[in-house]
Amino acid sequence: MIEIEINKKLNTANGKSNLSVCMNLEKGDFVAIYGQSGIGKTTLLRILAGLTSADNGKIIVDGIHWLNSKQQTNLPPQKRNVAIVFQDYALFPNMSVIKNLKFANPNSKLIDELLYYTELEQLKDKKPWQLSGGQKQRVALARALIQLPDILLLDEPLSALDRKLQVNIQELLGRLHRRYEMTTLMVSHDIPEILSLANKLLVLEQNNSIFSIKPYDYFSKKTINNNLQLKGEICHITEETINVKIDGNIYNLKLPKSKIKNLKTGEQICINILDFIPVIEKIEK
Amino acid sequence: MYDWSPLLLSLELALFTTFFLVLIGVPLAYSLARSKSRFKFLVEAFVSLPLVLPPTVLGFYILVVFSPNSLVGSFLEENFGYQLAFSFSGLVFASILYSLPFMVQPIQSGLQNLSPSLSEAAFTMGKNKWQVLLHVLIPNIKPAILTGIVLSFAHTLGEFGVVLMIGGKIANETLVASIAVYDKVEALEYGQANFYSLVLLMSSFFILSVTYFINKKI
Repeated sequence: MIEIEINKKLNTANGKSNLSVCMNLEKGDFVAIYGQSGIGKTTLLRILAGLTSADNGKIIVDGIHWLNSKQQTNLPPQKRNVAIVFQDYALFPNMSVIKNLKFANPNSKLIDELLYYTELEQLKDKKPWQLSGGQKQRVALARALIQLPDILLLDEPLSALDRKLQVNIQELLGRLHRRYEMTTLMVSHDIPEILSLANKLLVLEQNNSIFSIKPYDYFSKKTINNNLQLKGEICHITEETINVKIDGNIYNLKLPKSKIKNLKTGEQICINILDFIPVIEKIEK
Repeated sequence: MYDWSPLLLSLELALFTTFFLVLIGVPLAYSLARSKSRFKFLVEAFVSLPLVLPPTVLGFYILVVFSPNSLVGSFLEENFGYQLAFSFSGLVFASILYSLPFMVQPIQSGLQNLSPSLSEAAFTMGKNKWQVLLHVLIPNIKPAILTGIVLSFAHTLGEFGVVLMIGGKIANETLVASIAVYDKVEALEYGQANFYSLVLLMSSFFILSVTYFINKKI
């Protein structure tokens, strides 16, 4: 059980604002932190890690007071069992992959396990500058997990990666989060990412925050569309049908004559499919 | 026959000075790089003074403070039997002050160029400041430390004004090579003066070339 209550005044590029957060988390929760830039998402992570101080508030993790402004308690980062994955990964340039992990926790069994899960065994003797962005991200993640933290903090961990890598690491992140049963807080801008990983959502707004148990409910009201929308180009028109090229494939659509009248070959069109019943099959890789 | 003792004394002075400067300079540069104090600029100005001050001014004040007639000087002599003025250890002390910016500045800027997240990540791993300095920061600013060491060493080899003020020119105690050059020229012994000058010139050039070469590789 983690109780978090934090207040801090911020001076941002958009003027003054108030970071105000109140939430209770259960062990194993995966919380996404969402909100416009400059609203204090990173500051919140830093306060949780003990790297930045709050104006007042409390952080109680399994009965231990990490922060309690009434009791004047504020544990330094060293005394909090917390791990953070920074946006710039913060891998130690002088250490190889395995030494980066060893510095965080010398437990060699755990090192081998995490190298295996993050598929870094082949790269364990490489230095950070020899790695690609996705590989660095995996090292940073493994190094944070090896600390077996009570709270894992991720600051937009996937934003610097391309879409395909993002999906890979998302899956990895989800698997590892479940395996090591941690409480994870992740700053993210990416709604699909939040929906696939998080079970709770914290939305930061100017002077306020909304804590929602179900991320889906929050976004479905705002942004999620129940309709399927496809864009395509008309290739051929007959009396009752049109051929449309969508994503490289040609589809034959039957339409009322009145609709076909207005269309011309070569035109770009948008097809809205309302209230359809999808039949879904997995694609084997 | 050339007298090698001034050159050996210069070498000894430079080695001692550089050794102590590493011990003092690294922690000082670390605290300056991390400090957010309002008065940090005062410490920075003090450290950098020798860059702009005539060495004779620095030497003069060290002499005033540590001469046997002064408060500090007489205290040191009475309680520890130790005299700073006109002694080798006095030269080391003065050289440390005089070369301080050459050690501190490269290391400080090296530390400031490292991402703060490196230290912060290590803090969350439970490491204290000294562990972070030893295992994370110092290994990642090796070129800056090497530059600091070489500049301090070479600067101490070549110092003249401070040494003359503090040390005078007592053979085997304070008569270093740079003073010997001046001494020999005054005595019109140009051959000897040239010998010391040439050795200083060649060794300084050699040290700097090696440093730039190594720094390119690191």
